[in-house]
Amino acid sequence: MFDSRKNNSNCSFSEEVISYIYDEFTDSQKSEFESHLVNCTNCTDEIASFGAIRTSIQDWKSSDFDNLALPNINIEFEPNRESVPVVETNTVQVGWLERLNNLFSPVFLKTATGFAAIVLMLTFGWFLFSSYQNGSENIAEDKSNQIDTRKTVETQEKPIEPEKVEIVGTEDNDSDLRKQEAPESEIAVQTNPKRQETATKSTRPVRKNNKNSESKNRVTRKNKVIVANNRKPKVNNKINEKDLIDNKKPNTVVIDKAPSLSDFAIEDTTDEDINLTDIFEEVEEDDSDD
Amino acid sequence: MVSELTDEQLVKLAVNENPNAFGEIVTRWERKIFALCFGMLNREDEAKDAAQDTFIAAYKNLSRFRGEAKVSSWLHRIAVNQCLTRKRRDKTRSESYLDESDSAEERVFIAPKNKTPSRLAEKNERLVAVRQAVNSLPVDLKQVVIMKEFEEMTFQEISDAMDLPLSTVKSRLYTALKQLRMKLERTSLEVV
Repeated sequence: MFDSRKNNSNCSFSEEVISYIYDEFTDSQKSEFESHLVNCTNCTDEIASFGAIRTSIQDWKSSDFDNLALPNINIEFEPNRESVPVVETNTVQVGWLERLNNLFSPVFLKTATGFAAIVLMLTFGWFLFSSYQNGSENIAEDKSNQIDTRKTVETQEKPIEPEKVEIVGTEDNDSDLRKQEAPESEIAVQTNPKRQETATKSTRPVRKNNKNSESKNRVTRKNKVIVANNRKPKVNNKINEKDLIDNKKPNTVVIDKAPSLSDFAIEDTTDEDINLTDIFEEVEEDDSDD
Repeated sequence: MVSELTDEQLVKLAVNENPNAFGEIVTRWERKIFALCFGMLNREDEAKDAAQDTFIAAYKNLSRFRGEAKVSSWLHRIAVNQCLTRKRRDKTRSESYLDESDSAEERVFIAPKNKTPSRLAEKNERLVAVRQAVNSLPVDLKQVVIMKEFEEMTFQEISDAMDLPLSTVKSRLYTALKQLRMKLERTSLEVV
């Protein structure tokens, strides 16, 4: 085995040298290699140097390692270790029904309920916050809308109640008129102070006339004006017919209080839109129609 | 009864939650793994911790052992990975440890009293040089040297543990010894 490479300085007996150093040859292999070593200086030098290195490593080992005590390997026994293969195969075979049941497990329901409660609370809080921010504006708009609707209602309902205007004709009925008008502000506002003034001056009662559509329109137009004038002393702000038609907002809020005759008397002095002569002409026209 | 079983049979028993089976594996390989860790790390405390972590990691990953490789190969691979992780983590500290003279002084007191101080100092220098030379080897070569010298494993055992051909193991050891000889000659220290 070793004869063919005898006396070769570059022989590659690496494996045999290693096996010889660590004494892992069989007896036959060992005798054959020793016969090779007799004539191979290269292998002899390698065995000598490698042997010296081994001795140094063994010295290192004996001085540093051999006196050391073995480590205490303490491993706690875990019976429910997740690495058992049987558990893995069982988890793979979970059916859709079981997965569905797991989906609606109590844990999931609790989580979903809590999430829904949080969403509801956030929504309610947002609603409160937004309403608080826009609260004053909305209130102002609502009140102005109420005023506008009152105006429209008044303009629409005016022709239907000419009797109230007819009642206010004489000075003797002023006390009765106050009693009737005081409880409801709307009715009080709809009374016609102009006609009161007219009746006071002419001492002629105003007659009821629902038959003539032309006069009905006129009454309606004047009632509109009168309504605006009735509010004038309360709000100190003039509102004419044009503003009402254009649905302009008043600057103040209507005070639900029954007006008195003294208020109308003060107002008449400042009103420049209506002339007494127009009212007299209307009354005369009504009489002539009758 | 458990001591008569092979390593692979013991692992199967350990997978089926038999604590005595894995205890037998630890008993068989404890010293070799500790020797490997010491040869790789050169520190007793680090080597003990690495050996402990090796067996703990093996126990936690018993189910991943497919039986394709031998248990010795599996344990050695885990141990080498543990050592390399620790060396990377404590690289600076490990290098400074090698330069310390405290360990050399300790060895002086441990050494037999029949040695003269000059010879003891010479031996200590040689041991330090050998240790540094072994530590400077590539990991694959160093592992073979440690397994052979510290664990005293046969070439066939190393071949099984490293899952390498027998000829590759021998050639690696041959290459390692040649590199060690070159390194020690550079240090101008007389070997032996």
